[in-house]
Amino acid sequence: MKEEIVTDASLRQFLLGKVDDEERVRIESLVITNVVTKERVCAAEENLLEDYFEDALSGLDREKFRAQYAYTAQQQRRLEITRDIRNWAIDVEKKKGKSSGTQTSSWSSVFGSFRLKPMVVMPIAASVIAIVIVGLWLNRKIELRNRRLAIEKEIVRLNVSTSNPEGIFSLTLRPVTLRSAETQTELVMRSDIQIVELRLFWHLSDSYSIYQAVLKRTGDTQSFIIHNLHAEMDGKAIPLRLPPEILTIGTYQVELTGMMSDGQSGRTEEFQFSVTH
Amino acid sequence: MAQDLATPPGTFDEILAWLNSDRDVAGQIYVQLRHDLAKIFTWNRCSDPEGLTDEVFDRVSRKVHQLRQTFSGDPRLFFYGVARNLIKEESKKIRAQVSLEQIDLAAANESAQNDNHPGMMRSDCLELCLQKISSDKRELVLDYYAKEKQAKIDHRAEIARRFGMSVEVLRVRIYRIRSKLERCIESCLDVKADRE
Repeated sequence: MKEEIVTDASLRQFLLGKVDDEERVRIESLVITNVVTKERVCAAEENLLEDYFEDALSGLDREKFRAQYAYTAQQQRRLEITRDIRNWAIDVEKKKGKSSGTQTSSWSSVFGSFRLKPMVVMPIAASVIAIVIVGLWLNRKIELRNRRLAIEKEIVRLNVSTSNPEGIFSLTLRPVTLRSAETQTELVMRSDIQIVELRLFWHLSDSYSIYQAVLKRTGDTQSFIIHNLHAEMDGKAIPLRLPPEILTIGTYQVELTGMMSDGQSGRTEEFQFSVTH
Repeated sequence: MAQDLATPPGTFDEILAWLNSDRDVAGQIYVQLRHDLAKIFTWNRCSDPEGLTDEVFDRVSRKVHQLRQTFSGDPRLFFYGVARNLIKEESKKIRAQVSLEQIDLAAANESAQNDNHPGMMRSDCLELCLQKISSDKRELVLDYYAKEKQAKIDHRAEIARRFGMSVEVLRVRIYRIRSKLERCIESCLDVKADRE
């Protein structure tokens, strides 16, 4: 018996019926007894289906696919349903892209009808004013939301990068539980700081491949959640990079949580620092 | 949990007891095992995966009393062994009936071209079933499938990042939601077909 490792490539071969009996029995036995393998096979099947719908399979693989997945009328129906779900999502996305143009023509027709029926212009104008006020308020909300999205994107970008650009300022933070007698770590903001890197000291014995941080300023209702953080080589510190513009004077709290491979939360450590100018 | 009609009465409890001493856990294993075996029969291009799964449980139920005393190891693998034997029997039958199979396959292709479930009916069922899942799940599926080809890779990595999970975990989550939708659409189509 081969060792119990199944690669994505071998799963695809298996699903296309391109493996020998020994390999087939090995994978099927794992599907029966090992939930992780089963989920991986299902995911590989998912990718294969998409490649089929996108016409990304070679001629031979396409034939093999149809032999495996469109062999009976019931399977053909299942394939059509899967394609429908996928096409529905793609259609909705396309309609979203076209919606602004459609709205312009609707407004033109509304104003056109005003000229024809002046009696209805006044009440409708009042409604339009009310709508405009609500619209301005909504616009402000959308602006704030867009600004927040831009900041979130910037945080993701900073934390994906592993380079050390100029203007980076590092600050090592120790967990609150370890520094009861110490004074709070202070970050003095300067105009030449382009990126703030918090190095979060992880002293717990449990280590994780991914961490998640929640950054919150004391007294604020909003917080930033930063996903997919990784420990440095020695596993002792998790760097968290932030754009300086989000750090205003005040005290900040960072909650760092280890994430398990199934997406569940592991252990959490808490850090604090203050920002001054 | 409903007992399978193909399983002789009395032995069902014994099968459950063999799968796990905790009856609730055993029930979950039973349901999962049925699903996995049906999937394996499908991968092996067997024509009636559900019927063959019934047959596996039928055969095991005849021996379960003795098996509980003698078989050591994961009982699910015994079920799988029986399934393997059935797959071999099936392939022998297929080889013996090649000409008949070709006729069936041609008929199946023709039936697909005629389309027993026209697009309108499927789209009605899709809409109905989309309303039955939570808006979070609906949005997630919508977002996941929104992009095609190369663009989808970065897009899905971004969704996974947003939810703080790996792309693999996201893929499994989507698979589960989509399977639920598919089952819903299939039963909706069956109901509509029965009415006609």
